[in-house]
Amino acid sequence: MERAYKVLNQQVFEEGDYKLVPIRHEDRYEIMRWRNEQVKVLRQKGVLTPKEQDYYFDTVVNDLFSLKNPKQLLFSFLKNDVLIGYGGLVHIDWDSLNAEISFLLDTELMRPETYTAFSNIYFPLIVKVANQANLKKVYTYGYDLDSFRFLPLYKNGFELEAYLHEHVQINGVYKGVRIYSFMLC
Amino acid sequence: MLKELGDIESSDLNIEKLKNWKADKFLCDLIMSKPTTLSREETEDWLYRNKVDENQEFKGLFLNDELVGVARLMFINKEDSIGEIGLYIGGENTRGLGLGTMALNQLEKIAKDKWGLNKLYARVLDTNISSLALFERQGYFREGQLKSHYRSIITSEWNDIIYLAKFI
Repeated sequence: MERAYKVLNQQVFEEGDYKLVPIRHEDRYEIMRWRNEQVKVLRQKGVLTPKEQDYYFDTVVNDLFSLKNPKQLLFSFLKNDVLIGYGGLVHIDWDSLNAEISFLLDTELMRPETYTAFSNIYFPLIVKVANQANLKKVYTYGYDLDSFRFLPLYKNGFELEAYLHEHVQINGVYKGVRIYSFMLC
Repeated sequence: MLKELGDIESSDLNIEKLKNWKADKFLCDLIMSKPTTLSREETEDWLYRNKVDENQEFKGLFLNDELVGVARLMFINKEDSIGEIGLYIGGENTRGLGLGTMALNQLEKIAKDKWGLNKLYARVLDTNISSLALFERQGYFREGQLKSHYRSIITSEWNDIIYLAKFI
């Protein structure tokens, strides 16, 4: 069943073989699997169970489609209609008109060359979503791990606004957090 | 002049002050919080929830036993050993008395001794000159500036948010 965000006039955002569609219920277990595989680099406490994921999708995600100004706009990211990732705009501040971009790729695609290629499609698409939602600014909040995660941001016009030193522990080592942003027209 | 941090009792006077501060749009704008109008019971409930929050240290700033502000360690993350500082002084004629300095010193001590934290940080509006000066005097350094990140509820203009941090 296709769902629609009230705040958007357009629901599907396409670029060649790729598209963002409002997050699909049937994608929830695949998303759960990726989140659990990549839990160390996410702001997620512990692994998700199918029951927890069902509850999240049946309550939090479902509610997003009934709200005029939801806190999140989540999308399934497809290539040739096959799910390869998901993400969207989260922590949306409708007063200050900004939102954080979230993005998670299929774990098997988390290699520098594939991540870079897919990011260079994804980021422009999500900026289009933000423009549709009449937001003024989008930003990313990511752990300072591999440089390949950040290079696509520079390529797509994002600027580093903050570097939070030793802000998170991963595998017992302190890492920084990078905040990049993009001002919309 | 006795300046100290302490627990906030649910007295009529304290609840009334907290209620007023939460509705004060100028104060709320300064700390990037939405002003809210609460009943007495709702304010009591808000106070209780903050006091029992396991990831927060919620204290009152007292001047000669009178509540004049709130000081808190928020979003305490024990795994990452970090916490965010929240601080506001709502009492009248209480600026320039060293309350902010006292509060920061006390919060840092609590953060280190009780919680074993490694780093404290704060997010301050670029227009909040006195807070920026306070933090920088106390050894906090700037980690970034989020441009046009907060729209003032007073002026409707966009302001920057400065990230400040200190390793304790």
